[in-house]
Amino acid sequence: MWTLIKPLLLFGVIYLVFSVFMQSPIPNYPVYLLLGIIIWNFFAEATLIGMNTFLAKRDLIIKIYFSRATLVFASTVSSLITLLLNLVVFFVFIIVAKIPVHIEALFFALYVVELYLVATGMTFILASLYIHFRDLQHIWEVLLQIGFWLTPIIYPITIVPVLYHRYIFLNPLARIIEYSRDIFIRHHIPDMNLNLVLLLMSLVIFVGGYAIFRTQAPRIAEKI
Amino acid sequence: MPAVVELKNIGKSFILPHEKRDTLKENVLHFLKKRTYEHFMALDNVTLKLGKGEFLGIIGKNGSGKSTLLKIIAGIYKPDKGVIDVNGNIAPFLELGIGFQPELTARENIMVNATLLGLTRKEIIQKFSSIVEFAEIGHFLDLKMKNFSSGMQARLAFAIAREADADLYLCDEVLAVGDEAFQQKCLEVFRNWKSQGKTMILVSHNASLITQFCTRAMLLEQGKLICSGDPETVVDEYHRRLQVQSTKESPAPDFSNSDVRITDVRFFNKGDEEKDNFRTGETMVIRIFYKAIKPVEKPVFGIAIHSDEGVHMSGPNTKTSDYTITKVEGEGYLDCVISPINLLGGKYFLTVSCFDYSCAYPYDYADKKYSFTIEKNRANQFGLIELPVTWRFHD
Repeated sequence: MWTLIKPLLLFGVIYLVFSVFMQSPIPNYPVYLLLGIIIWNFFAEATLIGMNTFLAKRDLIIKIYFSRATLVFASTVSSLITLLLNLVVFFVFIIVAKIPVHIEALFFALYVVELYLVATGMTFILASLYIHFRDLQHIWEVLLQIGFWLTPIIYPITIVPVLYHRYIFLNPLARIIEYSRDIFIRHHIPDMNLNLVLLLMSLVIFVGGYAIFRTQAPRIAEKI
Repeated sequence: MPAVVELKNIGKSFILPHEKRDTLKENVLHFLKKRTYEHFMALDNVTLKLGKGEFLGIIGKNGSGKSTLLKIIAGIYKPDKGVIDVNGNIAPFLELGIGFQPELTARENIMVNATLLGLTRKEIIQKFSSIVEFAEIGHFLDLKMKNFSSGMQARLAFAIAREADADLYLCDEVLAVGDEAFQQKCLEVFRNWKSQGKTMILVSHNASLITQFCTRAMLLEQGKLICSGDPETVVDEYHRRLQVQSTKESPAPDFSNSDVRITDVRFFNKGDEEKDNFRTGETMVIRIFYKAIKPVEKPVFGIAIHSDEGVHMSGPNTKTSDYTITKVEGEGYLDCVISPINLLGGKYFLTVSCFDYSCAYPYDYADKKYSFTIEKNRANQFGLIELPVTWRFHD
């Protein structure tokens, strides 16, 4: 329940400050903002909870053998379910704001899959490192804070000088959030080349994360 | 016939750093300081081949590598050296009730635990009623696990475990928990598995459990395989090593200059025939040879009998038996006649001592230095001693 309310509270505060106090010029700002927050929040929660999964399930790991990757998937899938519930709230917003939903909205399913791959890939990396470095959770929390502001969640990408766009878009989450806004709010499907880049990024992070995890998997039982 | 488990030259060592450094901060701050490690050899060159239907008992002291070996077979640890080959599926009982969640109901916990033990959803549903019946928790199925007594939890855990269908069962001291009735139930299940031709590896400190159940035993010490083979022989070796070590650890007080010494102890039967293998109910004569360097008045001789698991069975002495020896001088012997010896089958250790009359100062004390065996010929009695029982029925 609280995982559901958390992004909404964050949304409420930011909306109050940026839309009511500062009069944000972005059209459909509530929907714009909520989409960004929901996507970012899923990533943050999934990785923060997921990186702890081996230590949290220590009792199981040292007593029985099963594929350790199951634990990572179990954790991120549970976050995914929260994401889907949050998206229900998001669609309510879309309806209330009377934004038309076109056929291109189906593309969003692809972005959810890519989002899941990125989050799970990162969780594999973080969970594998966390068994060696027990302060990683604090470090990751700080990095997430920085990431929140370096990703166009509450501000439009247009306020960032074009020179820096290439760096901003190194972050797959910036792409996922912006492309999702393209299809829901601006009603156009991003260029196929851009979609391809995002797909490759997601796959590289997922496969790379899993590969790193594989090197650590046999030693997890004795390290925790 | 292919082996169920085959281990070849398994080696496993754990790296123990002298200083704990498991945060990034410590690693960054001390990256110049060289880390020093200690290698702890948990298993050293262990080879083992186990065929179908064999029950292997692994015995050894704490830290001898028993559990590590079990974890390697179960796939939890990866060995540094050697090859493992397991044919068939494994049911690991390193602990019962793995994955029990206090916040879930008994019904949900059965699902979780059974799934972890490798049962499919269909199998669990099929076996559900028999699990519930065996665990005797019918009324409490939808109660949260945290409201269960630990006894009920153990019963439930075991009820699920016995449904696990595997080719190889790995058990680690599972029997150490639970009351007598529970242990009997466990043994029942073991017998069942045995008759079904299953293969099992049992890790235990309990020597009699191993001799009772296992077709083969192996002894580990500091990660090395000391011996393996017939359970009785291996258990004897285990006891011998324990004894050697206990004398090493606490060297017996030196009695070599005391006034009375016990020079030898021998066992005889009724017909004065020397032997150390008796039957329950026979007459046993313990002949204690002494040597008194100078005359000692009113010495007290005593014995103590311990089972192979260290249970003190009995400890009579001449004073408590109201038998006074006025004086010992020179060499001689004293007979302690036990008629009948009503201990049941097993190996027993004998302590022989000689004290002054106040029983405060020992002249000599030979702690568990001697041993005798009672043959296992009476399957109709259980336990350690035979009591003179008669039954009377009143209608």
